[in-house]
Amino acid sequence: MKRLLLALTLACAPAVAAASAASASASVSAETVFAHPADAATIRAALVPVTARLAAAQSISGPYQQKKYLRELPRPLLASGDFTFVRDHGITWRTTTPFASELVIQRDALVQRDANGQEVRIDAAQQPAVRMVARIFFAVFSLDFAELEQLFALSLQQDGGGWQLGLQPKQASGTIDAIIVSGRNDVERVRLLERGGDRTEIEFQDTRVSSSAAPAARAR
Amino acid sequence: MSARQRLLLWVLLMTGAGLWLWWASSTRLQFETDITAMLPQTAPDAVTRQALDRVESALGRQGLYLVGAPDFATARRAAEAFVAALREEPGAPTDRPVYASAALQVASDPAQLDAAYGDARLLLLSANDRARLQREGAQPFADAALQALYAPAGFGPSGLGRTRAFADDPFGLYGDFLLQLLPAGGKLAPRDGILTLERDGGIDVLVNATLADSPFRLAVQDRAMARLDAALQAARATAPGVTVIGTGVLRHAAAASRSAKREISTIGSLSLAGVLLVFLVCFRSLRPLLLVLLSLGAASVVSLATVATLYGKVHLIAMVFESSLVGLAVDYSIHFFSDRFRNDKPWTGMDGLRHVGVPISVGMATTLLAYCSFLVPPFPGLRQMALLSMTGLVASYLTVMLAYPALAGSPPPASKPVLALRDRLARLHRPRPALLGVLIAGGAVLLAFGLARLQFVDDVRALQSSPANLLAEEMQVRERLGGGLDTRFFLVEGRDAETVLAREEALRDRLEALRARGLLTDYNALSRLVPSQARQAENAELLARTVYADGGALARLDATLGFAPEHFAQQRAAFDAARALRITPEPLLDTPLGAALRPLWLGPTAHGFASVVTLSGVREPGALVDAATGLPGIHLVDRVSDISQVLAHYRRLASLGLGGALLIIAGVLAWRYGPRHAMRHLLAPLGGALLTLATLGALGIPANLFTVLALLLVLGLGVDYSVFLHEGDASRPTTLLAISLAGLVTLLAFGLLGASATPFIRSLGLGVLLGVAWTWLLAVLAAAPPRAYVKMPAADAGAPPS
Repeated sequence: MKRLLLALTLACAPAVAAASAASASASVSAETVFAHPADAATIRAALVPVTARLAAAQSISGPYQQKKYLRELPRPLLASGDFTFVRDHGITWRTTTPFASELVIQRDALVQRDANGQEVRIDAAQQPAVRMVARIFFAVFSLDFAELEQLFALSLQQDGGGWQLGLQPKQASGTIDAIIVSGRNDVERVRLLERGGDRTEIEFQDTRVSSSAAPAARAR
Repeated sequence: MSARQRLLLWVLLMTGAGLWLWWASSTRLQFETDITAMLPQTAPDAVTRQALDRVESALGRQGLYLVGAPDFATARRAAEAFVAALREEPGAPTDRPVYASAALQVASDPAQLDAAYGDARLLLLSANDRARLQREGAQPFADAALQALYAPAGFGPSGLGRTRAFADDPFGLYGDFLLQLLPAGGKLAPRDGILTLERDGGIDVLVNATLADSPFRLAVQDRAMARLDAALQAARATAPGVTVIGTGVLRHAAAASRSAKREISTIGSLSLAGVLLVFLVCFRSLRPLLLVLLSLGAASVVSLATVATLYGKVHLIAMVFESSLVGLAVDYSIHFFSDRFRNDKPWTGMDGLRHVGVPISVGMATTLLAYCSFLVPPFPGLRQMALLSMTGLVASYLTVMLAYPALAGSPPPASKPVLALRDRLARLHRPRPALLGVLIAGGAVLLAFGLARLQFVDDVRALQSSPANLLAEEMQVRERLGGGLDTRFFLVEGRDAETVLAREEALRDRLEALRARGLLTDYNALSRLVPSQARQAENAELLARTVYADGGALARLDATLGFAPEHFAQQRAAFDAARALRITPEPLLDTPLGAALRPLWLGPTAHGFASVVTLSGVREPGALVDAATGLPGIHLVDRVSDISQVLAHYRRLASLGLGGALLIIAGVLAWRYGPRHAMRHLLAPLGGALLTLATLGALGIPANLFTVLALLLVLGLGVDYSVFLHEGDASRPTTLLAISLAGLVTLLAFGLLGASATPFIRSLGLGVLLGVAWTWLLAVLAAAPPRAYVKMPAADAGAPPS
């Protein structure tokens, strides 16, 4: 519990968040998307097909696969499961492999349950950092560009039917140097570039976008 | 001595005093507004005093403001407008701004800490992690790290929390250490590099404004408050719905001096107006009016000059008190001029002197005796009040004795209303036995009931007050920030810096336990940033035994994740290399975070080295006392409780002094008037004091040191009344008139003090107010002739016997 609290606070704490310029530039500059800064209005216009769908969405759900690359570790750590995002309610991540656990992110609280049913709950009232974490997650999922622009410097690269959205935190957050969201009609991949050479890639397939709020109950 | 010689002497004395004041005020007269400067010094030794000074000057100058708005952008804009208005000061020299700094609180940059700690960061452990490693070993950390690595987006128990790549800080121990350095226990979240506080319905931006000088200096107050008012306006003008709340000594100090200044002018001018009115109505001539102004002027000049010379600083609260001194200093003038009303025959100043010279001399001596008791407690403020009063009284006494005979001229005899009043007073005689019995019984009931209910409250907090809106605002800020700085702190001493840090750590272990139990919100100590060498060695040993043990939690985690076996060997080698390193205070004190903690470090002192551990959000003071027991070199400095104890001590001492003064006065009276008369003269002062206490008790108003001191004052006045009535027995009606007028003026002046916003001035004022009223009543009753004896000496008044 205590460690989770600490982790959350730290996630948004500048006291610990300064990205060292050297390590940041190495991984981030390799990504061409950051050479194309753009403002929210331009990006919204360019991504109309995607954003129109997402703007109407009440819920988004589907399976995900995560690869975590650690510096000095030859092969990535694999995890998979499914997620449900319900507008105005929250996001539920259900991890099935390598072990079962569940993480619920709401605007003002965060709950984690492990396979044994042990639950850790953190309220924004005790830990204001929860709000910031939730904001980032919500904005990325619903591609809320106005919100994203407040938190990140934005850039956009398009080729063919595909697009890449680059997000660089205005306020360094934890170890994250940059986030790259890419896809065609849907968000297909989110990459988190981390300080010190680690990175996380999450792939989404068969994502279902629903304009009804039926699965809301699942995101407790 | 002829009247002319006396006048010459007076002119010489006053010219000297005037020149003296002119010199004193141009070289050293300053006004002090710090209420604590009036209170007794409680620090037992120089190091504690140094610590108190440091804590007060470092923290007293700081003001914290929360600029809030519904959204971040507006809050930030308002905060920037607020800061800009604080900084710009039209017409002031730019090299000496009144605010040394005013800025949005910037979130500190961890890169500087990284650089300062270097590779030795591997030896750092937060208190929580240390305890957990000792208790449960490293396995729980490994489990959490593993879970985080597989959590969505790395968001798990230690995922997003990490500050470095996994390989550099696998268990997030360094991240946890950095986290405990965050301000306000992590309640403040940084946004765009500045610290913010999210709350329901809005967001606050934290602004820190530090004064260049003490907020108790009047010049600083005026400038700083003007800037603050402009800044508040500027912030609120940026957008509707912008709120600013803040804490800091400045506004409390400014409010206190504002009300003191207001009181000096209102109490001063109202009592002066009262005096002038009494003189105009009674003496119907310009001359007594001008002369009483002369004596009051002399009193002010001499008293200010004395205090300025002895203290350099005159306390504003003492000035409030002095403004009521008018009520006492005028007594001698009233007695002098009332002598004119003995009869209609021509009267000169020398006649007055002959008649009232002895009584007012005896009266002044006893009053000075009463004031001397104010000098006994080591209360700077009280001593100032006593000195102001004593020197003022002497000056007005000398004016009456030296200047009046020559300057009195020949005022007109008493007017009809005054004569009527005098005769009415003269007809007062002892009530019928039945009525007397009822009065005595009533007094006895009041005494029994009131004294039984009387309560003494010595808490110094009851003697200081701030406007309710300021206190409410401060509470709000404290709530949002999770508890403000406490007035209590720990002083840690040792023979060298290392010992001090190690002792701080021993104390912190206990403070952490208090935090865990919710009895304390937070504390601040340098050892949080810089562990002692001993603690670093201990941590290294603990880490070697747990995290870095061969085949231990880290080695197993590395293997589970699939790292090559050399990976753990590298981590282990880096740790072994770090074990030879030691963190020292100097580079860390140069970081912004270190600079903020620097005031806590007292450095070398007379006994060795010392530091201060500050506290916030103390829920149970008793637990703090326990936290220090048994730890060498550590003690809790609690000035509020120390001062309260001193107040209680001197209240008891002053009560003894009151009894002692009564005995001395009884002795003097018995020697001069014989035991029987002495008893009668004592009835008024003694009964007056007891009845005052009983009245307070009956009204449910708690008494304190200042009530007792008021009674000492009243004792002096009460003896005056009795003495005047006795010495002036030959012209009893006139004397009665004089003491009634004098009592009236005193009542007026001190009654105004009873309305003061400063609680202890109020206690003093109320004590004197009630005391004078009761004493006058008793003095008149005691001096009243029995009903059978109502014949007036024909020469005196010609009042018909009733």
